[in-house]
Amino acid sequence: MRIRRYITVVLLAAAFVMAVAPRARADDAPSQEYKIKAAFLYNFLKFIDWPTDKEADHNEPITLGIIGKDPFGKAFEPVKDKKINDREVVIKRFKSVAELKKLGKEGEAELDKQSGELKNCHLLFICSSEKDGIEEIIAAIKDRPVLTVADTEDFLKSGGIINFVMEEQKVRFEISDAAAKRSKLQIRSQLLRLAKKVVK
Amino acid sequence: MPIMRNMAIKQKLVSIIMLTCVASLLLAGGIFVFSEWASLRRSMVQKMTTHAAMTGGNCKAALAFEDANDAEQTLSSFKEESSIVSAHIHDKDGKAFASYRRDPGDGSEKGSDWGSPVPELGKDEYHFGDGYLTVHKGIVLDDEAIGTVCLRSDLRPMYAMLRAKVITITGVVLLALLAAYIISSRLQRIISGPILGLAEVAKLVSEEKDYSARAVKESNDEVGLLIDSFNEMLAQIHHRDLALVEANEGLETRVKERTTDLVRANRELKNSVERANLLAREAQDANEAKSQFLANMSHEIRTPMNGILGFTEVLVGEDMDEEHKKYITIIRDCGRELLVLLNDILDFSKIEANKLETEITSCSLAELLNSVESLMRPKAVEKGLEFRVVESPGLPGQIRTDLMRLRQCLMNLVGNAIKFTEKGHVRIIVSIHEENEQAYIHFDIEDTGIGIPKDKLGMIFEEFTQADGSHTRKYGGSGLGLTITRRLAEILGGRLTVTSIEGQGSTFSLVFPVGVGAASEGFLDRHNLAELRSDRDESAEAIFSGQVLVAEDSITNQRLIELLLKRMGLEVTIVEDGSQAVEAARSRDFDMIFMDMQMPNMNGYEATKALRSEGLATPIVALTANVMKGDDKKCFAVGCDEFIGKPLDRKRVLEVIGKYLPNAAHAAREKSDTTA
Repeated sequence: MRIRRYITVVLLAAAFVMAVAPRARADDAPSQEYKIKAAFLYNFLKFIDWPTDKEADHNEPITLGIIGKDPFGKAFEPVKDKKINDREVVIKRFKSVAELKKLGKEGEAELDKQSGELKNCHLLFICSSEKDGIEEIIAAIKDRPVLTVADTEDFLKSGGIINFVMEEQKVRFEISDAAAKRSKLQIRSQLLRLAKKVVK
Repeated sequence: MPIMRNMAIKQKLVSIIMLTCVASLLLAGGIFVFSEWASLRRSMVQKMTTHAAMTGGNCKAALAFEDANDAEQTLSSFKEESSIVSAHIHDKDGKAFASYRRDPGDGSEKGSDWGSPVPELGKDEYHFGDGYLTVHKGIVLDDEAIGTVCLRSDLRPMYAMLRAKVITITGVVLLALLAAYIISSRLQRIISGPILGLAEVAKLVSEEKDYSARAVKESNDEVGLLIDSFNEMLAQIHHRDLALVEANEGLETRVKERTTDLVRANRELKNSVERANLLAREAQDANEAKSQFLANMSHEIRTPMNGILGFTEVLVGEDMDEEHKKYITIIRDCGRELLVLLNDILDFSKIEANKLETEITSCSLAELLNSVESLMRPKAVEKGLEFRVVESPGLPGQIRTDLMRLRQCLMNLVGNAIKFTEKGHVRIIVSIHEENEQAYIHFDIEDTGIGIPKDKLGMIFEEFTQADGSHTRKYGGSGLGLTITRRLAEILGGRLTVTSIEGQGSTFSLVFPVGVGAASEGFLDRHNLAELRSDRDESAEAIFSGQVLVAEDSITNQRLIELLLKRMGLEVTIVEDGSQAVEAARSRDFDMIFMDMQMPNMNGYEATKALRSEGLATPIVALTANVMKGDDKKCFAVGCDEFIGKPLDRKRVLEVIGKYLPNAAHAAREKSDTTA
């Protein structure tokens, strides 16, 4: 009797684990796609030259901003301790503009504050959750040397600089050199060469 | 170097230079080639490393964004670089990311592209192998190694380049060697020239002995110094040569002088020798003259002596009163003594002149002893001495010696013994002994006389010496007897020794070798002979009958012989020379002929020869005063039967006649014996 009870408990526990575990993993373990994208984001930092005044202070960390609903999860774990040109990389997450707008006044204030911080980012990944507010975000950081990256269709048309695209299940990207130049960013030719499409 | 030892100096120099050049050129060429090779490699590595670095740089983004196509596109740019055969890019996990091959179908590249070991990520390295240079170069993106570029380059072009360089260098080296050979061949004369010149001069000097030759000095270096020394040496030799020649000439002159001296000395010596020869000849002549003189003297002296002795002998036989008989006996004895002295002196002279000759024949020992005994016993008995001949057993019958001389020796010794002995005995002890496997016969003459003092023993054999000067006066004698005896003994191969005790007597020992073969001819048997002798002694009184012819030129001798023979009962016919004798012998028959050998007109030899040639068989007795050696032989040679020396001894004459004529007394006695 007792043994049957133990077996029942074990079986129940096993069923629970089996039901819960994948979901938990889906939450914590990022998809392969975003692991690559995370790595790519880091690598972009290496092939982009920021205006010199921005680089004056080498001790300042490089700020990698992520705005919107973060799809990376723990995808940055393997690369987060890496330094770019001896500079630490700090990942800053920003709240979705739409959600802040929903908050009303309080949200407005925070949005203003967040817009100021966005300007100081070196790279800003605009999550697909923000695809409707992309132009607004880009406008906010206009004329600032911020490399904008997204994986949203027509991102480049919206004034973004680099946009991830999938091609044959591989992560590729397209670049708007024009947008980069507007932002006073220098994209190295190697990177440009790799781009699936370059908007001049 | 042993090979070099036999080379000429030219070759040596050229060889040394060439060896040096070859060594240095090879070294230089080798170093050059090696450094060229190293620099080629280095530059190749550098180039490849640069290529790798550039490729790596270009592929950074491709790697970072995993764009293999882009990487391959980058790699494909190596099409322009022909030496690169393959290029690969590995990602940070070591997996192949992109690759490029110049000739995909070419199997020359070993194995799979990815087969080659992938080096540690980000490590830069290169290695040569299998004809390729492989360069690995890490791809670093922002301090992070993100991959590796691997380039493989074909080394053949490099080797071809290197080969071309080696060929060029070899050509250069050969040209340099050729140049070195030509130059050294020409320049070696600077060193070898003077040495060869020196050698040439040395050869000239040694071959032609021309020490005036000089080597020519061309430089002031060590060779020049050598040439100077050589010339100096030559000069010294030349100088010495000249001195030697001078000395030689001096020597020659001296030799010439000496030769002249020697020739002169030789001539003098020759003259001396000639003179000496002349003198020797003269001496010989003189000696011969002396001998002749002696012979003549002996004859001349003997003749009157014959007369004196003969007639005293005759007178002794005459009847006369005792007083006269005593005087006559004294005259006879003195005459005999004189004859003995005379004979001694003659003998001595002959011995001194080495003129004494001996005649060694086999002779009877018994006869010798008998004759000595018969002659000496009466003298001993006369003095009242006992006389004995003692014979040891084993004596030979015959001995080989000169009988006459040996008898003379014995007579001398026995005569001496009797002379110096007043009482007691005189003995002749005959024995035989062996010395050194040879038989010697000993005659020991023992007496009981006055003896000889020890200190005088050595002197007694010296001529003209007697033991005591007073002896001469007491005993008489010439003092030559012992000397002659000893010399005779020596001439006959024997010796004479003496032992003596003063006052008790002396023993003289005569020792002679028996002579070869003599001992085998039986032993001494004196008894028979003694018998014979006693018979003959008896017949000494005999009277013969017969007719005899006497040829004698000396009237004294004629008378003496006539008297002697007539007393023996013979009829005597006297002739004065040889021719008369021959005539007489032809006209009548004689029973015997007595022939003097020295006669005027025809001498005895010629007469005898003539008679014998006519077939006359009558016995001929030679009479001669010549007692020189060989006289008897000469007589026998012409046909004489007997030989009697002068002065005539009655007994000897009797003995000879007894051989040929019948003894009348004996016959008468026999007759009476038969009648009785």
